[in-house]
Amino acid sequence: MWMRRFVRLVWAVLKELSDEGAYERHLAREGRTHSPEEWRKFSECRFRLKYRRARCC
Amino acid sequence: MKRFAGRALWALISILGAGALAGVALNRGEPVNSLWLIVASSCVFLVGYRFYGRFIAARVMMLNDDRATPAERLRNGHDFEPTNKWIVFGHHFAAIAGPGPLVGPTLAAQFGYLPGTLWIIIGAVLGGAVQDFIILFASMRRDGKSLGQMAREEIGRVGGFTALVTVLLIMIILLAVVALVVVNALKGSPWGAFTIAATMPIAVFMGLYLRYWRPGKVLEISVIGFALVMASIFAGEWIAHSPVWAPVFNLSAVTLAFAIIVYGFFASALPVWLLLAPRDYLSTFVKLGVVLLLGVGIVFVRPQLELPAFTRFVDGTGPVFAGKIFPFCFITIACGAISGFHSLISSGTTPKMIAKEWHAWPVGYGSMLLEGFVAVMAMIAACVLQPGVFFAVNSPAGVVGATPAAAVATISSWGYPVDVATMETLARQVGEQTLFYRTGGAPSLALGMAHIFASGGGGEAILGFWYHFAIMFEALFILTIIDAGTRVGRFMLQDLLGHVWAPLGRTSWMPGVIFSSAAVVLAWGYFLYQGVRDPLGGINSLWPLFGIANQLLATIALCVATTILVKMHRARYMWITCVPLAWLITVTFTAAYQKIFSPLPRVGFLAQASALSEALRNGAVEAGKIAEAQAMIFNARLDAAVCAIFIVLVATILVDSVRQWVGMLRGTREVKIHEAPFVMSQLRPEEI
Repeated sequence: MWMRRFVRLVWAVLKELSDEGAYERHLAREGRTHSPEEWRKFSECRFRLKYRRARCC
Repeated sequence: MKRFAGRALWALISILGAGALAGVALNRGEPVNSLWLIVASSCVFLVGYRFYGRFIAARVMMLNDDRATPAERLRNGHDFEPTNKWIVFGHHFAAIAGPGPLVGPTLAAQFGYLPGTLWIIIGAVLGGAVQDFIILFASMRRDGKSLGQMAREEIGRVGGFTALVTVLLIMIILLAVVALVVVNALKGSPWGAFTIAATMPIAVFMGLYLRYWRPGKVLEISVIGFALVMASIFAGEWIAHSPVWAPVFNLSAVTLAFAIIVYGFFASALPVWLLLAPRDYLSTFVKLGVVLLLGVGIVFVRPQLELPAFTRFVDGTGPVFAGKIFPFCFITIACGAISGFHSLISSGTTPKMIAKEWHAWPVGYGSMLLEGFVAVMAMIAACVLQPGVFFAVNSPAGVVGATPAAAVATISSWGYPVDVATMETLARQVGEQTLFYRTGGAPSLALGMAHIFASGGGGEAILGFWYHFAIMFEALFILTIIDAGTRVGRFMLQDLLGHVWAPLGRTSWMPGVIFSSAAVVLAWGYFLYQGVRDPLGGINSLWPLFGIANQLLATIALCVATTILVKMHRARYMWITCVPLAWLITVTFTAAYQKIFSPLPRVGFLAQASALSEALRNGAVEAGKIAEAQAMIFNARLDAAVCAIFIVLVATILVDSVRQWVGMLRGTREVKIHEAPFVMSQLRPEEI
């Protein structure tokens, strides 16, 4: 049980780091289904915000 | 009963930590096992987190889970999104963990393992974690505002503008110094250069895969990308032994510097999805994986520390960089103890993801302690090398002598015996032509990591693989920082230039993009070129400059944090930020003064310029090197000027802040808290 929760958490962290979690939320919120065009629109918006911020040393 | 057990457990952790710390601090003469450092740092960090972090959270910030966070109130699914606290923790840690906590402790190991380790442990608990936590809290209570916006609001317009200019200048020095680390790691290394070159087409392939073939499958392509990078490490060995390909990838430092400058320009101007984003995904996963692997490796192998607690170089005569233990140990290690850059992350994405206010405690305070732990591991990896080997790798030719025989004679005369045969054997084992003069920290860190990993299984037979794996890991995320940093620098410059001529501020106007990208690349490229040509290895000048700049940014963040604490509690809790602030001011201003005015040419920029000028006047410089000497004089004066600009900018903010604090404490200045109004949280537990 504890192990399963830990693995689920690690998986969730990986999905968040890979933006897949944010993409799933985007699809759910907009009520859309996955398509190449949808991913491109989402990732362009995401990257525009992400790569305007300073990176740590 | 449960309460008693809890107290007994914390008492046990405290005693264990104190014992391990005393063991580490008082042991002299005998080799120390690295596990002592692990136990000491883990216990101190746990106690600091549980008691000091919680005290700040409960009493000072008065965190309140009933108060809706900006993630809940401004939820938009893009950047404002309530997220599980451990996911935010992973996200925040991945964002703050860069090459700094790895390279800084490696360089500071020239003083021995003890000063750096103590600074990491104490600095992280009382300084770094406090700064990160309070700035995260402040931003969270202010709708996720950035450090610059908060400086403008809380301190004044001068503070806000100064913070923006300071950050831009720091970015330029940061990019130059991390690029120099990569150049020094890859020069004369066909294996390393091929592996890193291969990451570029691999990243482009990943970008195309994500864009056109399997959109959205980031984890899938990251696994494929990782497999390809591992294959490139194996292929690198073949390249290094190929009579045809080895010369192609056997590049000099100057060639590599120009390659990185050109790469930086194109990478910052290319579409993000093609190169930067896929490489960022890959480097994030590799970074987290390697940190985990290093932790497991150290605990499993439990290597002995071969470097002593203190070396003779505490007196300031060190070959890696010049300067006494105070203040230079404390600016060399920034990111593992306290780093101003973290305040930009704590006031960036993270506050917009926090679902409940109490989550800021593990995310803000806890992540920094984990970063401190990474820094301790880097210190261990550097200190498992024989001292003679450590100094042979990290010392520039200008200090130890231009031939291997001269270098080993100099290093052995310091009491750290090493011979040419040992260095040649080691170089052969890791697939390099030589390991002499590999300044910058990355090669010695890679050697230490390879030693630990190979001791876990495989032995010397796979030392070369692990060495190049570690080099690839360091270079991969440094190049990602160069891509992303140049782009961010471009946006900052466009923000400033937009006030001069509006079209230059438009990020969609191609001439403006090209002009500002080129300006940023040329700025850091100039410092990189200067570092590459420096006979003292470049790191001697650039790393202290970077350390001073980074700690000065922390000074700005702590000024903002103190202003907010004064507004909340008057003078009652000022000491929480004023203690690290006073320490940082003492350290950075002393270091900056010494870097500008020290009469010793290896320490002071102006003394270096004077010594070279005098050599030119006396005709002591060879005819063919006159132009080079003139350039070095100019560079030394430029470095002194940059250092002075940093000090003036930060002193401006400091004076402005002190005026605010005195005014508020005396009651002559209005106390205005800029927090967003209280809104009751409606977030249900299942939503996070």
